[in-house]
Amino acid sequence: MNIVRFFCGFFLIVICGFIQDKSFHLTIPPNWSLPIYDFNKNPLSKEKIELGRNLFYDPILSRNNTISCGSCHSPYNAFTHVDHALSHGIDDKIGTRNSPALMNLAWQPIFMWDGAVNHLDVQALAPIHNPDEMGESIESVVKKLQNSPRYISLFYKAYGDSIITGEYTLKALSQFMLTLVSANSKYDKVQKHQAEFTIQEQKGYSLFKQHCASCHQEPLFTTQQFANNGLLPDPELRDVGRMGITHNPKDSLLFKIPTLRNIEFSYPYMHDGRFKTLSQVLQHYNQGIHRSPTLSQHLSQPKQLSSDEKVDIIAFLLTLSDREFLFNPEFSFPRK
Amino acid sequence: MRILLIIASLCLSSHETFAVENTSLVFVPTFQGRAIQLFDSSYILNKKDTIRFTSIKWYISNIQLLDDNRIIWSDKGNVHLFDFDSNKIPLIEIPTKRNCTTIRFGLGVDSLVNVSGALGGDLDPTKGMYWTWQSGYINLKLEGTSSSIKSSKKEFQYHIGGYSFPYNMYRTITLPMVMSDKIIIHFEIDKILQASDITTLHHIMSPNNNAQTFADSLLLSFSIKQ
Ligand code: HEC
Ligand code: HEC
Repeated sequence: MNIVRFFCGFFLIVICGFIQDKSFHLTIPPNWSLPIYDFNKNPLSKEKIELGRNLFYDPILSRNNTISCGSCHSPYNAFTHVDHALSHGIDDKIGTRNSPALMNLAWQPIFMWDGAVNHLDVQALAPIHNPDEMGESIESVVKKLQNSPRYISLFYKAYGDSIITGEYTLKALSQFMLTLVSANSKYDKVQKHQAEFTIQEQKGYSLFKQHCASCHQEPLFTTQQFANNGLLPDPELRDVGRMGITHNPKDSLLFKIPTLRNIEFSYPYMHDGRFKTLSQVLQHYNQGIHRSPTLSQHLSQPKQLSSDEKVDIIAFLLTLSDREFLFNPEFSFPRK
Repeated sequence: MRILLIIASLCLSSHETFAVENTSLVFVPTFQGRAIQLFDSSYILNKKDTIRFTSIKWYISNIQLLDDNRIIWSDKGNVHLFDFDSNKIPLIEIPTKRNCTTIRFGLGVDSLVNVSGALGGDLDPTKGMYWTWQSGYINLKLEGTSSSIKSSKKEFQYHIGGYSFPYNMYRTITLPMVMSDKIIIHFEIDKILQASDITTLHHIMSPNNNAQTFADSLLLSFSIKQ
């Protein structure tokens, strides 16, 4: 009898082991709030993440199989398009905005520079359908996937179903993007008392808290809100930002406050990629603020930072680089 | 274990004995009382504008049956796509509640659905009823041509959707109803088109004031033929 019980118990443990192996939990870094993404509606699993990763790096999502998500969101540049101020898409068409770095998306409530997208799951529809980006449609992507034996097997592993749907495709892409968590920079190690700032970094940190943190709030380095940070509007792009979505004049020239994590690698900067270097950015906040009715009150007073102070802030910003994130083999192009 | 089996078989058998009587609910898009055929150009609006429809698709959701003001049945959460283009017109089964006096339903999908990420079934984004450059479902797609439109293609395209204030296009429609075996609801497209001037306003492609006016005209464009 005891032996039977023992074996039953043993088998149960083995089964549990298998079940646990399949599901995947995102670790929430210490002192971070709970993610906004509802994982109950899209529970992570290794197979789904792997499927999402394959989709993310596969040009099959574009009309002529030339552009993948990874073309504009490269892992070695914190998932942004390095060197290009405005993103480059299908047939070498140039978009109207700079591709944002992708990380910590589970904590982000709204997407795109103007907040046009309200949920991570539906984000991929925008580039897939944009004629200047991937020039495709989700209907046709699903058909192409359904004709690919490799994807039929990847979807089967992930969803246990021989049919491929738009919902599965989008949710798998979300799964991969949700795993892109960056929380192990020098800054994070200092918070965990595993490292120490240099004197210069410490000075930069204090100045940052005084001048920048009202918008670029720790630990995500954004309040997740929209603000007008005083950029002179580009007369050709005529981008009104958030107002384009809400039609509310109070939202004119407001853009999403971006995270500053891995900022060293995500140049060029701002929604139109107008600045190539961090010192240009600091120069802007110091002297370049363009006054307009919607300018944020946090920037209404001139900053008057000395050259040393600007250098100190940059030294601090460099402590936000997370090499473990940037060179994580789990995030890069999948081996087929 | 045996007890479990007994319970299981009880569950299964009891399910069958409570068969409910059902009524089917049908939506028919009409023009001046006639059922619309796509690509037929014999529809005439305001005695002068000939109209030809090339696409009619819409969502119906949150159907409720009421006895005066009391909800006696609801299929809350269910959304049905009426895809006239590919002849996918669902026959909706509702319980035959004899005391029902009123039916209520939503045209489109409510804001909760609109912020719920990727969904499946009739709400799968491959159904062509999801905006891509901005999040949100299209509640109603109405496309076609009219001789009175000046542009070279003579096209009209109305994509009515939007879920957030002030551009929430979801509309709740309430109609008096007498229960029978089959309920046919006319979706009177001519009434919608009459509410705005097709010659000047032939494209609505995003949530804005024009879409708002258009959505309001939906409130008066359903009727029950019994
Ligand atoms: C042609 C370049 C290009 C391609 C291809 C592309 N993106 Fe983007 N991505 C951008 C740009 C540019 C933006 C910002 C657009 C805006 O704000 O209007 C962006 C924004 C995003 C965002 C929002 C980030 C934020 O912080 O708001 C996510 C997430 C994203 N893309 C994921 C993807 C996925 C997934 C794919 C593949 C299906 C993809 N992108 C393909 C250029 C691209
Ligand atoms: C009023 C809120 C606000 C304050 C204060 C603020 N920023 Fe920003 N920051 C923004 C917004 C909004 C953007 C994006 C603007 C755009 O692209 O249109 C931005 C963009 C940036 C970027 C570019 C990020 C990228 O990915 O392109 C950097 C770097 C930056 N800020 C650094 C700083 C520093 C350093 C300070 C303090 C000296 C600071 N910010 C103060 C709101 C603010």
